[in-house]
Amino acid sequence: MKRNPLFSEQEKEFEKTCGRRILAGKLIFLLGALAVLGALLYERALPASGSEGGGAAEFYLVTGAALMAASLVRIGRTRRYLLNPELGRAKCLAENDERNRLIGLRCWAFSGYAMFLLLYGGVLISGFINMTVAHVLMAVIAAYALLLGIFRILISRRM
Amino acid sequence: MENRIQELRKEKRIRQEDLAEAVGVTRQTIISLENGRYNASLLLAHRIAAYFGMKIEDIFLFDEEE
Repeated sequence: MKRNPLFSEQEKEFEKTCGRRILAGKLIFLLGALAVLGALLYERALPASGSEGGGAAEFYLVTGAALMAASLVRIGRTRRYLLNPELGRAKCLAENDERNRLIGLRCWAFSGYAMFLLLYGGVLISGFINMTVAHVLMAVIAAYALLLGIFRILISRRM
Repeated sequence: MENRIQELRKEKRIRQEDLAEAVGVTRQTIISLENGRYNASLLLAHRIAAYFGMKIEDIFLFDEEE
């Protein structure tokens, strides 16, 4: 069947996106490696009996390793799309599919509403238990509302 | 909004996969369109109409009361 030339343009754009994703993956890998290295150096620098680290070294070691593993998976997957044109085309189609995009946007919107309600519930409950937690949650709600307002202004200016 | 995609597709013996690929969406989107669970964007409606060589209003039946 004859294919619309519009979609070959879409596929070229997808190849560029894959390139950017691989680059982002490499940067994330580097970030993870730095976190692991930092954690190892920090552990060595600590006195043998000291526990001043408070688990910070372990935290950075685990998150760094997780970042490295996640970026390797992402790079591998993206490379597969570039090496296998059939697979890449299917992925490109799925990513550009308007229904899939709408589903993605609605998922973000609904999870945002749910998050807001959860935070509000958290403030109500934590107020009785620990005011510090309640204040932190209130600050998160305020930041969330502020971001919502900023994006509303920015997006409505563009549309 | 109702549409005649399924009717036209079957009339012309076109598979959902082929229509999906020709208009740049997934097969699942064609299924949703045919079932009336999803309304196509103007761009997709235009592509589908062009694919069948018809006008948008001949495929997508707009009901003002909906």
